[in-house]
Amino acid sequence: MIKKLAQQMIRIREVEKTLLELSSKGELQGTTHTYIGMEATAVGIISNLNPKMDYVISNHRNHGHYLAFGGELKPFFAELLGREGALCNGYGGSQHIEWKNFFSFGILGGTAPIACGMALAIKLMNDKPSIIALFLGDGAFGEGVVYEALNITALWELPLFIIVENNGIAQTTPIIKNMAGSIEDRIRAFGIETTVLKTSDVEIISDAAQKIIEEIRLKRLCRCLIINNHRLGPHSKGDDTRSVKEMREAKNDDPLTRIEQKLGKENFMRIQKKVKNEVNQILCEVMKSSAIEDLN
Amino acid sequence: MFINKSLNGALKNLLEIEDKLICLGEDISDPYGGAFKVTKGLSDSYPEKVISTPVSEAAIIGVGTGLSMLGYKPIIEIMFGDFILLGADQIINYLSKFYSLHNHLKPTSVVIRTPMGGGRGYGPTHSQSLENIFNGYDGLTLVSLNIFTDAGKLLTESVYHNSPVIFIENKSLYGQPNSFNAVPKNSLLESNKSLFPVIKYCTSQMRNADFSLVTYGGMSKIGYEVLNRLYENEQVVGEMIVPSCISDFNYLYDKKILGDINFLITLEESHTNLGFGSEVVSRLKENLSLKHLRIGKTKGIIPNSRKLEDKVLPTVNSVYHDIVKFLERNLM
Repeated sequence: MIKKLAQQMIRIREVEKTLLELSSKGELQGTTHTYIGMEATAVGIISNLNPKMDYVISNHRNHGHYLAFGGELKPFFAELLGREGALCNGYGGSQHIEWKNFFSFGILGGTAPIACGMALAIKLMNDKPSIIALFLGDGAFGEGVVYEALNITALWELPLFIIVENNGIAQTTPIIKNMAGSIEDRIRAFGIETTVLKTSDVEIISDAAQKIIEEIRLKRLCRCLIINNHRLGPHSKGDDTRSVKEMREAKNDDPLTRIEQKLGKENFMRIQKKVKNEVNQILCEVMKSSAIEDLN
Repeated sequence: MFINKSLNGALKNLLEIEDKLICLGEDISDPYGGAFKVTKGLSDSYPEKVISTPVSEAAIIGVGTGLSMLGYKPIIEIMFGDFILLGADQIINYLSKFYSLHNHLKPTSVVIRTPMGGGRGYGPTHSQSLENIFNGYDGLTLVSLNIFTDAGKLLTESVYHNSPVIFIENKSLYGQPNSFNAVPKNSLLESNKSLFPVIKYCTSQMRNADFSLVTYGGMSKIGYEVLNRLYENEQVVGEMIVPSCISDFNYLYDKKILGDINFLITLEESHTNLGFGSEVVSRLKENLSLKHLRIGKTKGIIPNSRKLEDKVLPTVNSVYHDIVKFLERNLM
């Protein structure tokens, strides 16, 4: 099990590193928001979802969520590189992805009521114990519509799993400069049971997520899990204004270092090599395909 | 039957035949039945499908988008058109984009019903006609009631339309007869019979029109009265074109609807700059000999006092006066 989780985390890291490289060479279309440093959150939580009946609603920092949900790499690369075979025909780019039961959007917070609507549909259909997993970052808690959605999901008892990834920084502004009170107090104010973790250990996150998901499936209620984690990369491409000291502290909590310790260096390197080959091979295939020429 | 009853009847029928139809909105449940009573009696009959919501326009529009993504057909009521701005981000950035980006979903339609317009003394924030703000975005269809077209039928067509619809119910129309057709003898009233019909009314069957008026919504009633008065008083023949889908302008190029015209007047309840009339005129200006006049509200916010409101919004008297001045300059 741990090997499978590790493989997914390493894959996310390798994809993101590849994208930053492509971006520096000017190959990438538009922007990208890498998930580096937060891999344990996506993998720990999403590995407990059932991609056949559950839904993931993600945000701008979506690559990790997409890959952890089983998203295919080839059409994903094609979308970001504007090549034939792209996920959204070259319209969505990095931020607006749709694949099976996975959706992401580039503006913060507005996905919250949409996730409520999907959860309401699941509740009304009442045929499967599906849940909607909504990923929000700490930055989204500046948006008023999030609180409208929290009210509705609690009031109507919707099967919504809210995951807050609090990496402590909204683009370049640290949370202490943009938030009064705390995220957990805000969510609990709506009567939504909330679990808070501060860890980059994928197994701890997975255990917590598993319990919450089981509870939502059974009780058909909204639950929240806040993961305090670190973003080790820039907000998008080259816009990190944090100090060397801050970055050093954040890097001490790198989920990949943690997984390397668990697996042993040799196992880790073996998986990493395999993943690197896979990512490179798929990238080469995509680079060979032609650019998308035709509008939808 | 009045227009509000026609809408109510259509909703009732849709709730009956469509398993996946859900009505959402503020205070829409019984016994209140919505601020303009369009949903009266519905929650008593369909308590699980007619849901009163918190005062959260953005969220309820988002909930509608989410419902539609999983196959539901939501009809959302926004109590006053002015409040739709609170949900503008959800409409323009999410709803319209989901329909364009996420093409494997084949989502069903979302209909956002909302009353626009003044004439009731509700003041600057409860009387505006804000539909222009949403017009022109891909993935959004704007449908507007008028005195001639069956309101319930328009609502039903909107539910089965293949993209989200903003459905504009001009407040002044709720108490008007539905599908009005009691026009004077020898006048002409015809429809192009499309799903969202374009209506043509002309005060004479015998003579060609001296001018063409393009209008929509609640202004259809004012336009109708002005045309009749102009014919009686001045013997000027006017024709009026009234589209019910105001985001599609193709009717302007249909010679059966709008023939060769030299004098064009547009009439709308909102301001004339960058609006419906501007679009109509700019599209028709390819015919360079065309003389035109745009009529709409005057500058300034909409006052609460009815007397003052009448000085800002177009009325039968002001529109009559504007058209006479225009025609005198050019025709009479």
